[in-house]
Amino acid sequence: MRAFVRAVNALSVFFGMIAAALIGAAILIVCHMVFVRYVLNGSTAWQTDTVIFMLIAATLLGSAYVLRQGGHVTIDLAWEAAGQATRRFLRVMANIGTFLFATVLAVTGGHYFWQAWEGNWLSETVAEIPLWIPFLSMPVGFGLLALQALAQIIDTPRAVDVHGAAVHAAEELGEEQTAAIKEGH
Amino acid sequence: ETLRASHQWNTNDVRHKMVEIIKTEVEKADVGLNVRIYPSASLYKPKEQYAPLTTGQLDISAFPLAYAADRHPQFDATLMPGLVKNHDHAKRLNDSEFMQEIKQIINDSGVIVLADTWLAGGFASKENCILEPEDIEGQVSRAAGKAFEQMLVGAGASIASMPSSEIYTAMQTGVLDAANTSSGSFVSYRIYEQVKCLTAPGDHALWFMYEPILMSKKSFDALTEEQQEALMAAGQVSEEYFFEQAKKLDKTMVDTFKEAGVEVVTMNAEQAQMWRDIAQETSYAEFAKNVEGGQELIDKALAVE
Amino acid sequence: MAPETIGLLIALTLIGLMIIGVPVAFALGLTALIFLVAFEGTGALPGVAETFFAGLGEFSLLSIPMFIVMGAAVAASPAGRDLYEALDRWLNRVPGGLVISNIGACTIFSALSGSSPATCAAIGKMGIPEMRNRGYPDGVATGAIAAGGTLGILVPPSITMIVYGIATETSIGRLFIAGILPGLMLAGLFIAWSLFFAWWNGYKLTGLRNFSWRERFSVLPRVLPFIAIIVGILYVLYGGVATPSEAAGVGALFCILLAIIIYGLWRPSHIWRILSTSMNESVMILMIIGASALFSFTLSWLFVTQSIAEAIVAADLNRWVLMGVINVFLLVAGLFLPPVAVILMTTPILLPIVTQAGFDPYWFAVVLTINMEIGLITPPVGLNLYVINGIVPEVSLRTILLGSLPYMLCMVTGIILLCIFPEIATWLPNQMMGAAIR
Ligand code: NA
Ligand code: NA
Repeated sequence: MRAFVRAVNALSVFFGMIAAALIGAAILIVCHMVFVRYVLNGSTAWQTDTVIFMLIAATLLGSAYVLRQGGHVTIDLAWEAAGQATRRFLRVMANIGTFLFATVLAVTGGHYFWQAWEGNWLSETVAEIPLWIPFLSMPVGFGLLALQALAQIIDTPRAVDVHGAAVHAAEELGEEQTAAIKEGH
Repeated sequence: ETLRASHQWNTNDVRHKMVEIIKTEVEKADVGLNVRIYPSASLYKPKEQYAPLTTGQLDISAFPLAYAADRHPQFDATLMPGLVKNHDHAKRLNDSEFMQEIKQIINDSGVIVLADTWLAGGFASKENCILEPEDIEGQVSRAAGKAFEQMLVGAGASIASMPSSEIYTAMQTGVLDAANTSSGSFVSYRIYEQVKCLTAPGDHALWFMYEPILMSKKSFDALTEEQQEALMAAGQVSEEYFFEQAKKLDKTMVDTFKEAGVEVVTMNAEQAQMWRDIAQETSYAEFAKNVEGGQELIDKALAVE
Repeated sequence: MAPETIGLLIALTLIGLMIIGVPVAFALGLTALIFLVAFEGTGALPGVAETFFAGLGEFSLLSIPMFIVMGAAVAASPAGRDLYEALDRWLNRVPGGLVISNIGACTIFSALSGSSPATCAAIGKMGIPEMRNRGYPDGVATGAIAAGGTLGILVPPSITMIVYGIATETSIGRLFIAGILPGLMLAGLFIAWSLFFAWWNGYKLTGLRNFSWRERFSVLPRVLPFIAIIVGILYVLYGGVATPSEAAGVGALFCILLAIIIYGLWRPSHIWRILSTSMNESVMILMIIGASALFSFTLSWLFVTQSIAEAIVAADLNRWVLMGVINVFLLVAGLFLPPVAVILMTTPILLPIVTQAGFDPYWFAVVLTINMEIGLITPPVGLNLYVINGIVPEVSLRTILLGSLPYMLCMVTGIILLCIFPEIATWLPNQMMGAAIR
């Protein structure tokens, strides 16, 4: 069980890094587009689609990592009022909710990806990007989100300690990085 | 039983009226059918409507067929430069082998056509009148559709892609010199305030777009024969209504632009042919290369007198 | 079942899921799935992936992560401190100059960042301890920054305005311009209140320092480049030279470059920190956007949206009563939900009603945004309060909350002023872009 939780955490971090890199790359592509359009007065055809798809992929692939960091906005009314036992219950229920949503989207997203792959769908602009590439981020991203929710359910007794505080998996991250993430909220 | 109809236009648009005619006609027929219209993209986004039609989740919709070209690349032929010359030509095209083939693809994917409609459009520029390909050389232009982008690049224009709703601001700020869109959009987005010259459809138009009213085959097959007949009849009424309206849209555009002091011109047969020659090497060639049976489709369309 | 009843059940389910702690994004998505399956069976499921994906596939949306990166790059550097220092050195002789410096720095930083918590954190880290040191009451020190930070979503660029623009098909550039004067007006109200409060309670503002002209000028080189970026972006957006997404991309790159050049944040770990912080925030926002697409689809499919709208229209309220009711509704929604979720869920219903009643959609965007600002400094989802609490843990959340309360009233005053003088929001866009095309 521990091994499963660790493996999922590691996967989430890995895809979180990919997501951050995608955002960085998207910025460079937009700048390239601006340069070509306004400085060289040339045609820009492939950049828009590419950047949109990259940012959608970043959102989906990074979602599990953000869940792990507690970065998705949550209303913590009940959590604040609850004692330790209730907090464990809440944490399990909340993650079941996330798990259900993520699983349905992973499966339907997988189906969508498969249709695009089978039918060789292309994006409509001149870029003609094969649509299975961006669609692939749905089963992967939501699949990972479902796994992360599952890992958090399993990890609940350890995560909600005697004081009832939620311990984010900080020990597995560098301290600096954790601080940076906290500053971000 | 209630059928769901979705489209992207506001309730003043002629295309909303078409769907509304289907609703009133079907309900008048008193065959136990109701239609609930979701206008202004309040249910599905414009390009999202084809998939639910094929699965039967959505019953009726109306949108440019080229929106579904990511699934069926042949549909790009219905937004191809120079294939349709004018509204009467479009009507003849509906019964041609070309459209039969397109409709076969539509049917095979689980969708049927209730009404055929073609919309015309034109070009407008802040610089000069666009008649021959060399007129647009060096201008930054917005084109409606991939095939048009390819042809304009072939003519020496630069392309800036944007929705038609952004043309006005782009022209105002100098991002855009010229634009190509439908007659209706030219008027509703008040492009006449920005441009010097308009190229109206006339008898030798370049820009025509197929925008049928579609129905899910799954939903259709689930109806009684009586209900199916009522729907088809309603589609016919709607189609005839639109044929008149489409010409009116062009006339309104010409009148509005003239009133605003914009020069209005139309292409003659030779000028249209010059564009078609460029399309031959750009959009037609790309289409033939990338789409199975693409060349045959274009040939069939060009063969319609 | 009547659509109104379904709507009530949907609301209860959504609230229930959020109360047990399902993140807002997934609670929206799960509620949509539950009701789709309940009324349509599993046959409706294949479409949800496409709806979710299409909800994110908008060109304008891609400016959101880029504006966030812009803010994060500046926030990762001590630029917030410098900005505040600069204003302080120049304004320290002015009575209450410190408050003016802080709220002014918030306003300027808002123009670099589309988000409120980022603004709050960047200025608060330096400004709050300094205000407390110099004798300002804790409530004013924290409240001024919590409120000043909310300007992040009103002063352009604004993520809230981007989402509104997409949801209502209005011009994002025009929305941005509409936010400028109201943003300055709110900043003015915040300053006025802070000074009045300190004066009324006879606080001795200690620790005034004199700065030489040399000191004043020496801090400028570090600040001017960021000001130049702001001016550049404003020019690009309002001159209509490029789209918001393009401006955001270039702005983000410039801000990263400035952080590297001026503050020496060149190590990969620095860049990584900027990108990962931005990734966290933009994933959070974009997930809500995708899930909201699913949620709105379900509401529309079950005819809930349309029925509610029809009911409001049928009630045939006086237009100002209507606007009052809408404001209360938005305010309550904003207490519980992040701005992006509120906008995506409510504007499809509200905008047609509001415009039909003769209100300007750009004016309404500003009023809506100020309502959302109030939500940012009220529990339970008061992001800014938590940011401040993180900066000065020794000040209790209660003090921060009470300190923010008067600023909330400033915002309500702002809304009232906008109702009396709608030109505050509409004049500048009309001047710069001509009358709106509807
Ligand atoms: Na801002
Ligand atoms: Na709140």
